[in-house]
Amino acid sequence: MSYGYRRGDLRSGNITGAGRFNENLNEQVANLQGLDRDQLPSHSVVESMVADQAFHLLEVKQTNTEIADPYRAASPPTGTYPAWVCAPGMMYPGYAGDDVVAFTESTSTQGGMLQVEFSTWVYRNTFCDRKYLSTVPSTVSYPKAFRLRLLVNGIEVDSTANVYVPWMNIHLCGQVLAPEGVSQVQVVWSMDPARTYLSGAVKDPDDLVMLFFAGSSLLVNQRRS
Amino acid sequence: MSGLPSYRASPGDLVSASATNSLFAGVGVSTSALDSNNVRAQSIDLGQVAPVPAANAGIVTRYASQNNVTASTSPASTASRTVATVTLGTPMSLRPGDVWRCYYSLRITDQGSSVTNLADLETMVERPGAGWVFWLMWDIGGSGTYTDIPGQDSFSTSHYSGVNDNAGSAIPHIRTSQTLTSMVFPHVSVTPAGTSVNAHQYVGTTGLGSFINRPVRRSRAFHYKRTGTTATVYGLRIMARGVVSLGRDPGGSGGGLLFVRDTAMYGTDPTFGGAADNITVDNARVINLVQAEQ
Repeated sequence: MSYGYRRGDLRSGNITGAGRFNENLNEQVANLQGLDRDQLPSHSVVESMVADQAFHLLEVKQTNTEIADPYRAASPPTGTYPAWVCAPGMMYPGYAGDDVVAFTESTSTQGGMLQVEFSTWVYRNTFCDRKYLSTVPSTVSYPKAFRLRLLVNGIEVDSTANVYVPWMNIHLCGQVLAPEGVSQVQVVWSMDPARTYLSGAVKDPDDLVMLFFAGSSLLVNQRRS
Repeated sequence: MSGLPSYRASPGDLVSASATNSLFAGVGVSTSALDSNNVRAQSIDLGQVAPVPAANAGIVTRYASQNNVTASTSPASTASRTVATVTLGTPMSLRPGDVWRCYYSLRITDQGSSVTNLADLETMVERPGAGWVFWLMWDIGGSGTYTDIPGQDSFSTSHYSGVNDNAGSAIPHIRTSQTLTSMVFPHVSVTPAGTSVNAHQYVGTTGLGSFINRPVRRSRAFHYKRTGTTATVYGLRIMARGVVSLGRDPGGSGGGLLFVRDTAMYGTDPTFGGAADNITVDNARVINLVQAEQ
């Protein structure tokens, strides 16, 4: 600090006039009361002076449980193939195409901007893409699609729309105003449901993993200043 | 500043020098200690914040870099291949608590395949996936030795036991729980094409070719928060391997794995997988951003 405060040094018996004393003292106190950032010299604030999370908050979450029970098939039947074939992902039994929350992250926010980034890679089974069944009508649309959505407090901030590429890298990013309190960040996935063709005798297989994603990381960056 | 104690002597009062001096001393102590603890964050402007003395040493943004590698390469299957090596002009320091935000991308211009007939291509589509995987390694010693980044495996035969091909040989694989930096790219895909056969290579003119005969750029981002000790990164390397498929831990952990189709994995395999499988890549780009939680 370069502020020119000079400490007084009174001796007992020095004070003989209260009015003069108060005048001088009040002047000093007034000067000190007026201290603000103007007295903070330029370039004087270095990193060690900045309290943790003063400028922004950074939270990173890495996960590999993107598709959880009851949609995660840890031991899918593999028929004639070795036991390790087929990833532990989503299979059609019990899934009807609805949105499923992959994970939820809650963070305490104090206003400012909230920037969220989500990154992952996705595998989608191409088995149903091919017209492997002679009874499938040619009007059936192929291939199937999956979707990922990024929500903050229930509001969608970014989404993939329909993705048809079977092996794909996804990066979702959005910014919203951060409320005072707790903010909830969610990642939601969905995929085209199983289809039944013609008379209902033919349908998409329910013993194969259809969707799997991994290597996910979620970044929550709250800009406070 | 606010909240300083006031003192007002009145005529006729006995003024204690010691009490007044204590006030002076208290004020002196509090003002001489004026620092970040006395000044609210909201009252500090950019003017008061120390400038970055050299590149990559800001209070919040500690480091930023972008590197481009334009050279073309065609990594083939049967081994992990280096697509691009980036030597950072200024080493990237990751202190405990720092967050590394990495964004990298590359352009895929062609793919070669050992599959030479459509029937095998169709069979490939019906298998649990066929694609390429790219991932990053780092040099944190400055010696040019590249090692795994936390959260990311390299291909090995030892991550899970019991992952063997049709001949009983161990298959190199990556645990999908360790794919923080991984980028995937399809080897085969399917398009709507009426009742005709519609399987195709995803990109390229080599081999059976694809209707997508133009380059495709793919990107990946990941976030890594450093814990423990400081790491200084001198370089990054983009690796590639394929053709790979997706499986699960045979040990029953519920974990997945990416594995390499170097050899026939099961008896009904068509004749694909091997040295004829390759992918042509160019114009790789790596962007690094390190931020401190301040």
